[in-house]
Amino acid sequence: MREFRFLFLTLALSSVSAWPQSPDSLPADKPSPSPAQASPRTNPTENQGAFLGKDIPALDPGSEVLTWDGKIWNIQDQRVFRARFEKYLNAEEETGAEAKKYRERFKQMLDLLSPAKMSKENFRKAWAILPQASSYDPDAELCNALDDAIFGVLLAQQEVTKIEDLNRTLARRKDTLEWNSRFAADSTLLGQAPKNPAAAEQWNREQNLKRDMKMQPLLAELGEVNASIAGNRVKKEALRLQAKIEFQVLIAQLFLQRRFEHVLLANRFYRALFGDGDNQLKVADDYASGQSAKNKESFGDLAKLPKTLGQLDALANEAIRDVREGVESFSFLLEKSELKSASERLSEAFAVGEYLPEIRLLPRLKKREVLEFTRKSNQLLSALEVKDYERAQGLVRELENLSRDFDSAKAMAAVETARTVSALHLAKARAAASSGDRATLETELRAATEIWPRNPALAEVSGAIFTQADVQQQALSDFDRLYTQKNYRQIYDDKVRYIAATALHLEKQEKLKQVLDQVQLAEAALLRAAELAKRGDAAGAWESVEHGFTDYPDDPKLNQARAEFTTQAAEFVRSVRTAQEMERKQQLGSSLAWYLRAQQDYPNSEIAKDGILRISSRILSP
Amino acid sequence: MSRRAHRKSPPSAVIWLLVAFLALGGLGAIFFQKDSDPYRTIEPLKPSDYLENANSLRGNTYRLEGVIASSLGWSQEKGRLFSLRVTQGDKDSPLPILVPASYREMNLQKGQRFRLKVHVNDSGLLEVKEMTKS
Repeated sequence: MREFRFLFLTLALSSVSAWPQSPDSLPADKPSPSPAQASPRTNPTENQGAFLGKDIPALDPGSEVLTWDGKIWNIQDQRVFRARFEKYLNAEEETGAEAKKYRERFKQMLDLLSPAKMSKENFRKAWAILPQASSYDPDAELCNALDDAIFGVLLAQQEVTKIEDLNRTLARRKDTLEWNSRFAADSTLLGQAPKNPAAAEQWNREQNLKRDMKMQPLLAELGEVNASIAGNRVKKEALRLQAKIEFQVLIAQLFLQRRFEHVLLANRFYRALFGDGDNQLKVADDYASGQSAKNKESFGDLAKLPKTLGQLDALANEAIRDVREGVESFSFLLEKSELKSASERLSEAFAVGEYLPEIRLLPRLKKREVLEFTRKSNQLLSALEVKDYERAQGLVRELENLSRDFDSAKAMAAVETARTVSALHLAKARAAASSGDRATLETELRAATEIWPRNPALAEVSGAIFTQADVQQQALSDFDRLYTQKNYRQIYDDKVRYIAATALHLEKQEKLKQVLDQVQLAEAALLRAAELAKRGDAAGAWESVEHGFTDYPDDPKLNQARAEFTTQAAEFVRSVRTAQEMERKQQLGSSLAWYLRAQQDYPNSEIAKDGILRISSRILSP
Repeated sequence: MSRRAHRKSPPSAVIWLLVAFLALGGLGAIFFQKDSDPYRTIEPLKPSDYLENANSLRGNTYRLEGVIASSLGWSQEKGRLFSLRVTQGDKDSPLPILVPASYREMNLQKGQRFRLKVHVNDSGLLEVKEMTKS
């Protein structure tokens, strides 16, 4: 079955081989093979004039890229095939009068050329039908090509006949020349030789010379005739071989094009044309001789290709039978509403026998039944390819409703896996966002996007993260502005917002701490002042506010309280301020006197006490 | 009894005598008091002036009388620093005075009243030159 394996692979490839891809259309993650990989047999001189191009097909199993004759295919890209299959499902069955006539003509030709009925007359009749069959459009002029090939063989045979005639003429001339030579050789010794030994020797020499002179032109011509006969024989054989190979190439090409009926017909014409019993497939030998080890791994050993036209014939018949069975199976499964299997059987049969009557005659009504399933299946594949798992899930549900035998396991496994992994990455992204790990956040979001680009949760989560980031950014901006304005009170009033925003910024956090400490001190001073004021201790209240004011002179609340208590404890405040002013002016005596006076006014004054202690120390210091 | 009654001094004379006696006593007291302030010839220091600008008084000598309110500090070299409560008008003003080390033998403590001769030194501080208890 090795041969059949190769056949199937070849057929599968040839089903898409009409649409070579540009290297650009290859998947990004599968780089185009290097020239060395792509063309393992690229010696142009070695492969000049090789069968079906200059190169041998080479598959790189790593990248699943096939290169052949300078073109590149990705064997996984089934889009083209899917599109073609869908087109077929929409096409009307070929049951028109012209189609019927075409098939009748085909049958007639096969019948005329069958071994039982084979005759020159039948050959001519069958040959005459070929151009008529070619007029049918789906034939793609292949019958015409076959007609031309037959004509070419006949011309070659005519040439061979001419050569044979020429050789016969040359053979006759050769006989004549040989007889003349023999005669010339025998007639040279006529007459009597002299008795004198010396004269006799002289006479003999003259006689020999005469004989040589007579025979020389005869022998020369004989040589030329022999050479011409030999040359003509070689030419005849070469012509015959060339005609065979050309015809075999056509048959092989028809086989690769999956035109199996044409293969059968061409084989019968071949046998009629070359009735020498030599059915050896010479193209296979040519092809196998240039196959690399890598190519053998991918395609199997080409040396094991069908060696004879008979084998090719059998394979074509086998393919036709396989397609017939596939179509029968399709019809049965369709009746059972098992659309998945039905569509698979039909697509398999279509891939092999796209041009066979069993496929072409299938009613459109039947095909349409699987069309929707196939279309949705293709959409599902596309959705999975582009990782649109939401849509894929919807399509899986629809397909389950459409077909009893649709197996959703694989698709759902892909969807669920993507969903789980994406959710995992999103959870990590959320955690990274909350901890301020921007690098991890980006990595996880990218990973989640790659796994499921259209994941609705992705937009939701990233939106939330970025909104959060915006709010945070805004809070940080406000904090910077208020800090610059020294509007610590507003920062303090909205401290929860700024604590959250600066949680990830150590420098700002430090600033915020400083601000909050200051305002808290001011608040404590205000609280203490309020308590003292309640007890009627205006000087104590002022002093408390004054302490806060020293630390945070820009606080409006402190300023307001300070102004209020200054009025209430005017005398004490005046003493303290004057003392401070004098101290600043280095009038230690007056300053100390004023501090003493302040202390007299408010004995509990910390400011006065500190001032007295400070100035006393200065006065008494050596 | 009646003769003795007729020989009694008249009450107005007694009153006048008493008034004269008291006036004499008062004058004597004033006289003696003035005599007891050894710095009465020195200009008294007005606390308000000192508080206003002590530096402008530097180099001057004044007399002061007041009660020691508290001790502010002590130094071996410079002496003791006190707060002296001085009364001006109806208001007490605490003023700092530096009692030099030369007075280390003298007991100074809170509540003692002193008459002082003070000098406004270069720092604008009242430095005691002489002092007596009053």
